[in-house]
Amino acid sequence: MFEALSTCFSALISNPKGISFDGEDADEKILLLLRRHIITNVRWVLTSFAFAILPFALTYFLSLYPSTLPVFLPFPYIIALYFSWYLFVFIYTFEAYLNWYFNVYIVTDKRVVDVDFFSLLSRQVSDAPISNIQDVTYNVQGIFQTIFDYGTVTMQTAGEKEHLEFDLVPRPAFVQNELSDLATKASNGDI
Amino acid sequence: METFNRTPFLNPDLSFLNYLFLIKAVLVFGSLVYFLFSLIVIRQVDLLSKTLKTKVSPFLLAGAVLNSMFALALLLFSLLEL
Repeated sequence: MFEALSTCFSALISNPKGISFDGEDADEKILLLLRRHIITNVRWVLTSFAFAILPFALTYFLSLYPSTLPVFLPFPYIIALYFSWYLFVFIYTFEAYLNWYFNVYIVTDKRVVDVDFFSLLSRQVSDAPISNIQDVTYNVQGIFQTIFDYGTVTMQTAGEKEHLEFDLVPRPAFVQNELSDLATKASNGDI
Repeated sequence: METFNRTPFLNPDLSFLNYLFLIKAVLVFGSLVYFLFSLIVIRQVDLLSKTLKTKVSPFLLAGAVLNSMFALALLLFSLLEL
């Protein structure tokens, strides 16, 4: 359980264990599992925190200025309103986390896979064989990406899909290096 | 003296429409919608877990089911206790 929970917030896992994806071949090995850098979640984390403390701030304000409360609410109503608010906060946080956790980029010894979830029940899975990768570049822009070492890795591919992008992944230089090595091995027939 | 409303449709008695009734109506309707939404979230997590299988997936599904149970509890509480 602890091993599972330790991967809850991992954005880059080399040779991940206990992970598989839909359409994976039996002899296929996952080399890298990537997600957007964890720092990209700061906005919704702070928003969730603000939502969570809002009722307490409101209660404190109303206790200071009781005359501002226009109506009297019986205790069961207050309980129901608090409970419904925190259900809303939970689902907002949960959905944001699911969006980060399940939007993954997978590099196997055979292909690269981009799993995108757009909405509640809408998803897109794109993949490209390693042998189709012609060029790999990475881009780090701005002060936050430089400080926290994350950026976008772009692969030019031969085939129907001209390029694949790994957006805002950690250690883009390392990822680019790994993909380039794989592409070279594939072109040499080593994999 | 007996008060009898001879024209109930022209002069309806709206005294029940106090603010507590309105709050209860909003809570009941909102919790019903939220409960139905929570069932969709369970389905969503199930689909996500089938696409990417990880060791965390069971915990996420448990979280979604728990959320749905709390939503149902809120709905029942709003209906019965308010």
